[in-house]
Amino acid sequence: MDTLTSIDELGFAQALPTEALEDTTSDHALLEATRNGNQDAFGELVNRYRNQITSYIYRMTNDYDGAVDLAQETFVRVYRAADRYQRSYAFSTYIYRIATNLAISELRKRKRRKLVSLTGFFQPSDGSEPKEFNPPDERPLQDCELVDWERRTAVQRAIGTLPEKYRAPLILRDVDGRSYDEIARILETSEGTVKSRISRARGFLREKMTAYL
Amino acid sequence: MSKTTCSTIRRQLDELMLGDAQSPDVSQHLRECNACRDFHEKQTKLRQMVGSLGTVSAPSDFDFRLRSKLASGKSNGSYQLSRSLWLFGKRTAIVAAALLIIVGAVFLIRELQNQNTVIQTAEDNRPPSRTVPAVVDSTTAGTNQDSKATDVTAKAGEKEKEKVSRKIMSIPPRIVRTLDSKDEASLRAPLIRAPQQAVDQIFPVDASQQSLRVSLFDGRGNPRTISLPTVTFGSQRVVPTATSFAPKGVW
Repeated sequence: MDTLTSIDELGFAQALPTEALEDTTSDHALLEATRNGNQDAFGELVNRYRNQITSYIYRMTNDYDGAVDLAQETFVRVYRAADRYQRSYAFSTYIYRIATNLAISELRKRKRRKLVSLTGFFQPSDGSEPKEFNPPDERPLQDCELVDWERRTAVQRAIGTLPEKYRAPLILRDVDGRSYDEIARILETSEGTVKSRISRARGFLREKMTAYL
Repeated sequence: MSKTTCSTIRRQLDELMLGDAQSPDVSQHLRECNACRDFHEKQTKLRQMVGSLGTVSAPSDFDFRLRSKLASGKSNGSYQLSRSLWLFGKRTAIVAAALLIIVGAVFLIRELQNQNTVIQTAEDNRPPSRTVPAVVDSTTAGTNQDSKATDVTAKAGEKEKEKVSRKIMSIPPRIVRTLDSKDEASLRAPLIRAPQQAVDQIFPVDASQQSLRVSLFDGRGNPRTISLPTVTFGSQRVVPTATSFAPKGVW
């Protein structure tokens, strides 16, 4: 693969011959073209997956800016490892695996850093589940959209409290709608383990979201 | 409704995607079992809520920032190479320094151990101090003879010490024939078990080639010297092993 010398050589987003590449070309072919120095092909790959990957990492980390950075890091890794890419799995599996590893490593870094969160100030003394910092909003509800927003926020918070090994399969299944087989390949585990973890994750969520069900 | 059936039905429901058609068995069970129907309704609602989170869009400058990252990564290539080389060199230097310290410490410890061994060997080679009684003829010796005999014993002790110290210092002993006399017949002969090679170390004085001479004073104060042939009577005889005896003439 040719090396880059300036930003202008990576003008994949603007100078994309869209009709030629959109949807008709498989991910494998695009990556093969990227390997041969076709920057437009890589641009098409980015266009196809940037929202999915950003969204997935955001659901995992619950931090939008961090998720965007990690999504970009995912694409950087795909680009740099294009020479070593093997076509044994689908490209989506490959890129989701990279994104999952980055997200899990970010979550572990956060644990090590022991970020002081507002939740931490509301830890119950009896050792039970910490209560979220969610002061009551006294304002009257405007419409159903606000109710939906509040519910989504609650779901997102509840997902954020799940252990990472339950969080990733639940998001891949219930948010992204991926098959058990694909999730197993992304997480590099067995299909039975994936089913079991998703079931446990739903059980945890059901307990946390009792008020909304 | 048996628990096994309920758990099987719930697992099947769990594995279905939202909107997938249920099997007739599952539908039949849900009509009959209130608990499973309640579970299914709550589970479906929960999954709908989770699924409603939807996709978050990437920011509009996503591509531009990605291109910047890729380009800066290219320009940083040589810097990263030199950095990795520097790190490699640093690691190598640390490992080399650690090895040097370990080797030095081992050398120092061995040197100290050698010194201790030399001192210990010298102390082990020194013969045990023993009192040498004066040769006294109880029938003929008087008080004058007693004092002279004590003098002789003291001199013998000093000479023996000098010889031992010279042996330790690896200086060959000077062959001096003396007229000192010793009487060790009344002492219990210690049995020294030692290899044949160690005989010289145990007895720094080579007495095997000397005849025994006893100097006495007669009743009028005249010295009389009596020479005796080499006699083995067991005093400090060296038995190299339990089954063999020292050669004749070795004291």
